[in-house]
Amino acid sequence: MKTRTRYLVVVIVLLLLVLASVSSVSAAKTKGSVGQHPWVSGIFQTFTSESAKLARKGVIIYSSRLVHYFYLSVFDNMPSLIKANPPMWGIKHFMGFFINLMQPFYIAAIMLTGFYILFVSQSPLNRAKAKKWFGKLIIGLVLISVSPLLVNLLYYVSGSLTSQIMNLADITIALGSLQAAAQDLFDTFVKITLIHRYGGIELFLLDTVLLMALYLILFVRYVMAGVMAVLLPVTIFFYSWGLTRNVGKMMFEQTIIWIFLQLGWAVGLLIISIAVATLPAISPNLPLEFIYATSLIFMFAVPFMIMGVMNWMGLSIFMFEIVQAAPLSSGSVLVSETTLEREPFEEEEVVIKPPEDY
Amino acid sequence: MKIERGRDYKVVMVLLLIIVFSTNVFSQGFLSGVWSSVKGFWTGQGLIGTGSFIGEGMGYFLRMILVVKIIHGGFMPKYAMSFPNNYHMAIISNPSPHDALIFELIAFFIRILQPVYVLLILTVGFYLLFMPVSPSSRSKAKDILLRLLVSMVVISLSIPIINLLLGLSEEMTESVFSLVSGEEVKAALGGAVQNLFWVYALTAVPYTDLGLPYLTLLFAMSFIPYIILGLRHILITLLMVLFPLGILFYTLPWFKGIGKKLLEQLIVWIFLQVFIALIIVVFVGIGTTIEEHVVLNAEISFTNLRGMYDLMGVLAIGPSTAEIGLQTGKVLNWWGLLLGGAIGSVVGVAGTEIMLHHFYEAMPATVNIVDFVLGATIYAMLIIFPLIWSHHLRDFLP
Repeated sequence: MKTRTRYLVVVIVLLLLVLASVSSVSAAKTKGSVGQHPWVSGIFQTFTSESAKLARKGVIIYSSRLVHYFYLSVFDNMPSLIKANPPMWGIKHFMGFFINLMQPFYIAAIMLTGFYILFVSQSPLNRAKAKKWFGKLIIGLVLISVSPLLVNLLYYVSGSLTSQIMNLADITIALGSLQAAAQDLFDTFVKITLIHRYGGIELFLLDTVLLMALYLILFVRYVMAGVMAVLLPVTIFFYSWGLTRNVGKMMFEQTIIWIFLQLGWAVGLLIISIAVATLPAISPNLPLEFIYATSLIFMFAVPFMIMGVMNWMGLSIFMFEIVQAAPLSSGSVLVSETTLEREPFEEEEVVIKPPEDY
Repeated sequence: MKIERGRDYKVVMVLLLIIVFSTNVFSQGFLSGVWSSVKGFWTGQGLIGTGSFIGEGMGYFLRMILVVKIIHGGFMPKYAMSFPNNYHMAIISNPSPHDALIFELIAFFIRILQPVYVLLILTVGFYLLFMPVSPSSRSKAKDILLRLLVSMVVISLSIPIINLLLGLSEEMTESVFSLVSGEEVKAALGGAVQNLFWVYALTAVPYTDLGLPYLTLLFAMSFIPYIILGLRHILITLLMVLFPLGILFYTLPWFKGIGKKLLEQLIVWIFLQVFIALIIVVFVGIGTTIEEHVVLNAEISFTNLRGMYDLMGVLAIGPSTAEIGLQTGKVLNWWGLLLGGAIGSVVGVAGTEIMLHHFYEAMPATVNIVDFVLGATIYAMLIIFPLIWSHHLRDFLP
């Protein structure tokens, strides 16, 4: 509340207080004769009900003020919350559980493959396949074993990039304007509440819901970055098997999205800073609430934008895979078709050749 | 700056309350019927024509007491604290294919499929033996025959297979839960609900609609985890019953898409419990570490709430007794007003204290923003994650 409004309220209250004492004295003096002076009772009536409403308004403002400042702390915490990543000591324990869970599978698979190569396999093709699998399994095992380091690397890259980006411009401009706008919204609520008890509830809801959502999305990102990092061994495991590759791919995408989300927010804050710094030159009288609402919506949209971009990247990775594997994949389609067609003639041995590196 | 502002607000509040307190005595309304009948006896003529403050104050006071008693005394322990207390049981429980009703249903579907299989195998055999077709079609038919035979074996093993999946998922969930202590999880989930309730209590004092979003959230937090888990239970039961059908569809090249979807969904929903458990466990493990990154851990002190309730007690009873004191006539007059006000205030506060004894005992000194948002976060993730999980996980079967 601005100083002028505050004084206005205090003056009104004092005025009412004086009125109350005057009228109560007159009431006490004229006791028993009020019935003959209806205007006195009229004043009492109006005064009582109005003061009752004013008291109620006061309590509404008081209570909502507590909640408003509770949430308003988001702007003080935002830079450090955006930069925050879960500590490695916190997630190592859980990652260890999944690494221990996955390693036996790998070891059994490696042993079986080795056994297959040594004692079972007959055809060169199958031996070559088994050898390929062997390599894949070893790589997977190594990746899983070093997955805490990978997570650390991802956190480090994402965190330091975020810090770098946030140092590019003065983000306090963005935070300050957002905070001022939130405060303005709340002050409007206070004024409207003074006019009508329940008039400003929607503004209060808008204010608190936006701030709460901002807090929530920052916290969800922090925990999800931890959850997806903990699942990284499982992700690698899923990704290395043909059967579960889709699951692994999806999980890997989610890992990247949630960890690098902070980058999007950093860029968002930067852009808001620049936008706010350049806006007054265009329109000095622009109400702050519009910038506030727009900026906040922008902050919420960032995760979805990131997800969109990441989907795009996922698509490009997929395209890259297709392009890279095109000769092989078209060949395999050809092979499978021809084998189906020519199965009775038993010519598949001729069509499929062992790879060069055998 | 903020402290100054807070002080100003407090000054305004106190002034407002003084006014209200000093003027209430001239109003009536509460027990107006009773009072009007005795008023004439005491004073001959009514001092005040109307005024609804006492009535409104008293009504509001009773409403708030009811809210406290119903929400804090009834809804909270019965519904809101139910998930924190029973989370383990709720998450770990699975429908059993050995349950008589489910078993009957699966057996029913298998019985339905028997003639279908006989018919399909006969058709394929007939096709192979008597129809003059190309070698490729013959090989396809042979392939289908083989798949049919294999799927028959799989269908007859459907209950052990489902049991295996369920057991695997259950065991994994158990071992995930064993990573943190159950008490910690209970404290985290319960604390979330409690914090939300206290902010609701604070906002609902001046105007119940102001606290309505928090009450809605409280309802959501009480029921949505159960709804998600219930949905999982129902879907698993459904997909379990349809498992033989899914296998048949998956076998036949024309219906492979449907069969694949059915089987994939069964696997996704069965293993969802592992990931729900993982979210809770990781959250409990690392959630609180975010406090290190919070510069300003804003707090709401609940002495405010207590003060508001006590004042309401005073306002509800004080004015009435003050008026009685004043109206006791020419003898007491102003002294009656003061005495009545004092007695009413004491009675009001004492009444509030007695009525809200348990409420005040459970009340925390403060709630801070980290705990509050973390609580909301865990529930939000419990809701969001299954949606992401079931939406993104598809197309993993060959």
